[in-house]
This record gives sequence, C-alpha cells and structure tokens, in this order.
Amino acid sequence: MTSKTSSFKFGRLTMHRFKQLTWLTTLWSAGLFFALPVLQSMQLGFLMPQKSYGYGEVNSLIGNDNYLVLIGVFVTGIIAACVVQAFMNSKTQNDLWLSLPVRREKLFAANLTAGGMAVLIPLTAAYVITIIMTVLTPSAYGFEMKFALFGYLRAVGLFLVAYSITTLWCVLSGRTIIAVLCAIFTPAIGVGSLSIVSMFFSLHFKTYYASTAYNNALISLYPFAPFFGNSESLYTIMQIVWTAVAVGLLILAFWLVKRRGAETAGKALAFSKALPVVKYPLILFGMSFGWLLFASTTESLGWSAFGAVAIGLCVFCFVNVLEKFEFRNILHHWWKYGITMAVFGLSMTVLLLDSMSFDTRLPARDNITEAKVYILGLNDTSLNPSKTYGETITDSEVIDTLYKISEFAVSNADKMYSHSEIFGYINLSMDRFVNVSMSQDYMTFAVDYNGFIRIYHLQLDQSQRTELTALLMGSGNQAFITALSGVYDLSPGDVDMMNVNFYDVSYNYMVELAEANGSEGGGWINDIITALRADVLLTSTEKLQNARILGVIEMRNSKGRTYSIPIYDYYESIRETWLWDAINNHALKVDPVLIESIEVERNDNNTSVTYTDPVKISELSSALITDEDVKYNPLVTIATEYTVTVNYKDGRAVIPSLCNEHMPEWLKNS
Amino acid sequence: MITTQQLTKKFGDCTAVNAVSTEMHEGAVFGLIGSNGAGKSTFLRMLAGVLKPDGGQLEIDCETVWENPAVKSRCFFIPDEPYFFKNATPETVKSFYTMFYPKFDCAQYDRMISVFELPPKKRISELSKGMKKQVMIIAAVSSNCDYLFCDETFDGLDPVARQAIKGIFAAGMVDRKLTPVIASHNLRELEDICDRIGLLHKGGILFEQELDAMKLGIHKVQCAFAGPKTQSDFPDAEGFKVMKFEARGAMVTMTVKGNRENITERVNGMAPLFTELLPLSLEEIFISETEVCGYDVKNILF
Repeated sequence: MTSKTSSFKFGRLTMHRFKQLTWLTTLWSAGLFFALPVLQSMQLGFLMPQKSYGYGEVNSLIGNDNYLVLIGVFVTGIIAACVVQAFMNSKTQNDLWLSLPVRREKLFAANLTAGGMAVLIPLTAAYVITIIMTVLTPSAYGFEMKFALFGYLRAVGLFLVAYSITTLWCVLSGRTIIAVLCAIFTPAIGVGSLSIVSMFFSLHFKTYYASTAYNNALISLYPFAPFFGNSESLYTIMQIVWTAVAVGLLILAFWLVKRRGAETAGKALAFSKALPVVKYPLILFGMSFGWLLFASTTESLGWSAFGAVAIGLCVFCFVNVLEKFEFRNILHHWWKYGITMAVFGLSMTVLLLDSMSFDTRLPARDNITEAKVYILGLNDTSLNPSKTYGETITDSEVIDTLYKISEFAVSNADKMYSHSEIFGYINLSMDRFVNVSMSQDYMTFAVDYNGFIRIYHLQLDQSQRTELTALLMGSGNQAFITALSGVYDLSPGDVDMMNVNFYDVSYNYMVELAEANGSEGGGWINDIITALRADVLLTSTEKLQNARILGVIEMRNSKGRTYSIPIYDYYESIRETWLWDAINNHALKVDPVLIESIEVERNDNNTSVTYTDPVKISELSSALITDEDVKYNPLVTIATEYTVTVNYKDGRAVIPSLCNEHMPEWLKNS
Repeated sequence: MITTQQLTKKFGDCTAVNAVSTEMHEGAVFGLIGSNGAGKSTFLRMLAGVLKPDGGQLEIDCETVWENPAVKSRCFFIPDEPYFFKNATPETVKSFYTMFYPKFDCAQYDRMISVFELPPKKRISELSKGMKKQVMIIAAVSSNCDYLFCDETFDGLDPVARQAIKGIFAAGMVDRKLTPVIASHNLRELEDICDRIGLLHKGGILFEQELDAMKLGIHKVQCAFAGPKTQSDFPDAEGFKVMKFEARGAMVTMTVKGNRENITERVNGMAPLFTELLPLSLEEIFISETEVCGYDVKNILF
C-alpha cells in the first residue's frame, strides 16, 4: 500500500512538474516541427523531381546531419535541467518543497523525469512524424530506418549529456547562472588545457608534432563535441562513452542531492569543497591562454609572462566576484593568486627548459653515446614511443649517420615543397626496413613497419644534397648498413647514382621487390614515385601539425639525457594507398592449416586441378590476394588465366585472385 | 510532542541556533520570540525538515523529522515568504497540497476560501500580501496536520483576519489537538494566543516558560523611599532578583524576577513611602530579558 501510494505520488508529482514546463515543451515542439518534419519535407520536395539521388540525401536530415536538432537538444537540455532544479537555488522554493512530506531523492527524480519528458516527448514525436512522412512520400526511395534511429539516439545521447552535466552543476552550485556557466565551461577545462599544452609546444618547440588523430582525440574529450562530429568511429565511441558518463553523473547527482543543504541556496557553490577544484584550474587555464595569446603575437617571453599574469588575474577576479556575487570580493585571498602564479611560472620554466625533451634540438655530436630508431604506428601521437622495440645503437659511425639524418630532419622539418624529378634512391634497412629516396632537390624516407609504408619528404639544397649523397654513399653509410644488417643480405643495385637494397631474410617478398627496381623509371619504386608526385600535387600541405609522425630517432648523451627527433610523413592520401598492406600483407591472411583444398582452374582450356598437399596449399595461399589488394596495390597483377577456389575445412569456399608475382614456379610450369 | 535536545545549526562561521533544548506539548500554542537574527526562522525550518540540524536531536512524537515523510505529513510549514507557483490560483494550491497531505480537507478549504472572500480562480500573484498569507494558512489548516509551523504568519493580516485565524487555530487545537508553533515579533499577538513562550537570543534559548507563569514571575516595581537607594540595597536572594534598576532620587523603578509575595515582602521590609507592583507585558519581559544579555536599545542607539 505504501509503495503504491508512494509511486502514485511520484507520478502525480512528475505530471505536476511536467505541466509547469508546458512553455518549454511548446517552444521546443515548435522548433522541432521546423527542424525535422518541415525541413525533411522541403528536402524531399527538392529531391523528388530529380531522377536519381543518393540515399544519403533522404537520410541526412533525419539521420546524423541535422545540426539544428542537435543544437536545439543541447540548449533545451540545459534549460530543462536549470528550470526543473531551480527550486534548489531559491530559499522560498526550498521552504515549500523541502517541507513537504516527500523525500529529496524522490522530488529530485520527479523533477528530473519531468524535465526529460519535456524534451524527449516532443523529440520522439517529431522523429516519428518525420519517419512516417518520409515513408509515406512516394518516390522517396533509399530511406533507411537505421539512420533515423541513429540520428534519434544521437540526439537523445546529447540531451542526456547536456541534461546530466547541467543537473549535476545545479546540485553542486547554489545559483542557476553559475550552474549554466559551469555546465558549459568546466567540461572544457581538460580538453582546453590539453589543447593549450599542444599549442604551447607548437609555439615554443620548433618541430613539436600533434597529429590529426591527437586533435580529434582532444575534441572528443569535450563531452558535447563528439555529438556534433562526423560519423568517425572515435566520435561514435565517445558518444557512447559520454552518454554512459552522463548516466553516472546523474547517479552522482542523486547521491549529492541528499547531502545538499537547503541553506546553500544563493551561494556560488553548494559544496564548498568543489570551489578550488573549479576555481584554480580556471585561473591556470586563463594564465595559459594569456601566455599563448601574447607569445603568439609578440614572440617575447616578457610579454608572454605579462599576458599570463594579466589574464589569469582577470579570471581570478571574475571567479571571486561570482563566488560571492559581490564586487567587493574581487581580490579576496589575493595571495592565493600569487601561489597560483608561482605554480604556473614554475611549470612554464620546467617546460621551457625542455626537461621533457619535447624539443628536437640536437645535442652536440660528441655527447651522443647511443641511439635508437623507433618506427611508430599510425596512431602514435607521442614523441615518447614505447620502449619495447627499437634497437640500441652504439656504433659511432652508425650514430654519425643517424645524427646527420636527424640534423637534416630538424633543420628541414617545417619545409614542404612539391616533388620534382627523382633520379636516384637508396634503400636502407633499419630495424625492419627504411627506404631513403634521393632526388635532385628532395630526400624521401619511406619506412615500413608492420607492413605499412610511410613516407616523408624533405627539401634539399645543393650543400645538403652533396652532404647527404656523400653520407649515403660513403663509408659511414656502408658502416651503418653493415652494422644494422647483421641479419640482412646486401644486394646492391646499379641505378644511376646508387641503389642499395637490403632485405630481411624473414621477408622473402623483398627479393622480388629488389629485383623489380632494376632501373630508374621502372619497377615498384617508380610506381611509388609516380604516385608520390601525383599525390603531392593534389594533397600537399605546409602545416606541420597536419603531418603524421612516422618515426623517431632517439639520441642519448653521456649524461643519459634523451633527445627525440620526429620524422614526419607529409603525405596523407598516398599513405592511405601505400599504408594499405600492400607489400607484405597482400596474401590471404589465412593459416593454410585451415584450408582443406585449393582448386585451380585454367580458364583457357577449362582444366582444373585440386591441391590437397599441405606444402602446395601453403605456397599457393601466399599468392592469393584479395579484391582490395587488386584495387589498391599497383605492385601486384592478377593471373587472369586462373580461377582459384579455396575450400576451407569448415565447409566455406572462397574465390580469391591469384597474384602473378607470387605464383609458385611449379604452377607456372604446370 | 516536539522535543529538541542541544539542537544546533551553523551557517559557516555563524551559529544560527546554538544548543537549544525545549519541549512543545501537543494541543498548546508555542510562541517563539527573539531578537532579529536570533534563529527563530532557522529553528522553524529545522522543525519543518527544510534544514538539517548540525548537532543535537530533534524529534516529533519520538521520530526524527529529517527526511521522514511520515512525520512531515503531519506537519505544515508556513514560511514568512510563502512561495506559489507561477499562475497558481487558490484552486491549484488545493490540488497541489492534496498530493502530499492525505487528510487534506477540500471541503473545508473551499469553505474557508469562501468565508475569507478569496477569489478561487484568480492568480495568486495578483493577490495582496495578506491574501496570499490567508491562502497559505487556509491550506495549512485544511491539511489537517498535527503540527503547524508559522513564521511571522500574522504579518500583513488585517485585525479581522487575525482574529479569524486565531479562532481557526483554537478550533483546531480543541478538535484535533493541533499544535501551532508561531514565530513572531508581534508580541501582542502572541500574548493573546500562546500557552508557552520560548525566547531566543543569538541562537540560544534564554528561557522557555508557560506564559502565565512567566507573567507571574516577573514584575515591575515602582517605590519611593525616604532617602536615595542604589541597586546594592536590593541584593539578589531566593525568589528575588533585580534585572533592571533605575533610581531618580528617592524614586526607584525595578524589574524584578520573583513571585509577587516575595517581592512585596522584600520591598516592604525597606519601609517604602510608596510601593506599586505592575504586571509586565510580553514586550516588556522580552526587553528586560534581552537587555540582560546586552541587547539594549541604548547600546544600539549610543
């Protein structure tokens, strides 16, 4: 009976609160009406006269691309949370609500539910109407329910995030305006700080690198941002993560609301312990921003410090005034600002002294005692790569070579020019495989790691070219090669200037590659060069920040200090092609043990042979390539005269292509 | 019965209610008086379950109030500034309170709204301050609660409405042992209605007594002697304590704590030329009690 009465009261209370939000529901419904059914109707009216249109156009507005709805959900979520929980910040409303025979949690839950209903009911209705309208529209082909569902869930997720963060701040603060400001700005403290750190390094360290992936990851840290992003998987994952976090925040708000004193209404923060957690990061944020603002415009350390102190002080005063809502409080506890300033100054000093070795300034060669070469994966964003791989090099001549390359990389890292005639190249195997191509004016590093080829490109002037040529052709290079190729087999070529190829005995495919690059203008290297040339013309960029890091040369001096020199990849689109597992992953990635038999049919005479011998299956399977390899890899050609069927032991049958380059000799001769 | 033991509430560095121990018996009106900032409203808000005590105990019929809907459903709090929802009318106020008070008497509510000539469908925001108070009091009485906490409730009411409300309170006390706890600065009003008075000052309770006993226990004495007298001529003794002493030549005016007989006997023992014992009003008692604690109008003005 008690439970029934209790839930009945909850329902009535919720409905009572919901009715009080009629104005919000009405305004929101009106906005949604234009943002969804009307816009979709206009879109369909525009599309239908066309004979053909992409299915995405029908689904875009109701799917992921309706930013009007997202903005509306975001704003309405914040407003709804503020309105339903505003009673907590009013003494008179507290006297009414908290004296009633209802538990605080239940009251909070009823308010929460009412606010959610005020936003979600119109949203759901608008989506349902739009879906029905789209389905019933003749000729509106291509509509897919899953896009509408994703769009709806995305909007609901954004609402939950905005609603829960604002609700939490309504509980944490004693004034609605502070709750709104905190809900919007405090989630940005983390991402803002990281962005500022990134900008700081970009500004003060010549070759500091922040990849696109890193920037995307940063954006994702702001809870609202992923919902406005594209359909990248990172953003989708972060949408789910932030929605889950939102639920967690609501649970936290539930927990806090029981501990929130009614007397805190009107105060800046209901929980005074939360004040320093918000206040000082904000001040540090302001200081960093001030530093960067002045540093980027004046390039003077003095002015940068002035900017940090001035803007930090502004933030400090602003927060102080907000704290008590009193102007006289503007310099309250000014000495704490002094401490904050000292902490900031100390941090800046530490960073500017490059104690974290972010800078790539080289130490004197004499100080270098050992070196390592790291090749980074695609998603690596740090200059401090995993220490789990990378061979330690102590040979002085090898270090000389690396040092020269590092010098070159440092001094040219911010240059990017279009490619021109390449007249020679050299392949150096390091760690796994590094390809260095020399041209008249440029040097290109091609790095292969785990089957991915990465390329970077540097401009050469005459002296550099001479120096590098000597370096690469000279004894130092030879020593370098010798030192690194204990397990490599040397196979020099005879190209105009130089052509030194190595291959790792564990990667047999390199034999073919080495054979293929027999002369300038032919072979796979030329294919790369051609693609490079085309790609550079189309997609080159001068922004270092947009480049991807592809490797790090790490140098350690006699005192143990380590310097990291990043090697960049300037080519975005060619990477997409050449990072494709073009070289060593082109075979079917299937263990031959899983294969029952392979049937090879000759198309010219319709004869077929079924191979069940494990050895032959193994050899044949390494020559089988996927459709994607065929599409993207210019290094392989299909043996069209054969049709191959792979019969797996689990009963599946697959028909891949047969690669000419890897076809077993016995098959060719059969 | 409401009992508080060492009830304490702090707002930051300020102790609004400091270790207050008291009892409020059912069916009797408890008046809460005190200087500004004495903690009367805070005390009432704790009774109503709005504020959580920082220390001590607060029980209504042996149950704590804080987050206890069962107890709170038997209490009704009328704050000094009652809040009504935007667009609320006396009608909607009724439906709102019926959600929370199972014994809410709608018929009585309608009848009283009618008796007080309040427009049932008019927006409360358009009513006068006194009419808003009336709506709140009617809702409170109609809730059929056992305990009514009124903070400056009679402020803004006209004399007729005041008398009517007092009558309603009295009827509630007779019918169902309603226990009103009324905080007010209008001591004259309290004098009429209260059975028991608690005097709060700077968060602490100075005294708490039956009103009648209080009046009988403190007197104003005016007397004339043959020669000049000082306060040292009237040392404290059992049943005789001078709280305030003024002498103008041979004419002495004193506020004395003690029963009438003791005081008369003591003064007469000093052979006065003239003696008169006057009863103190609640206001005079309040002033004399708080003066002892340093809350003196002279200190404020000079």
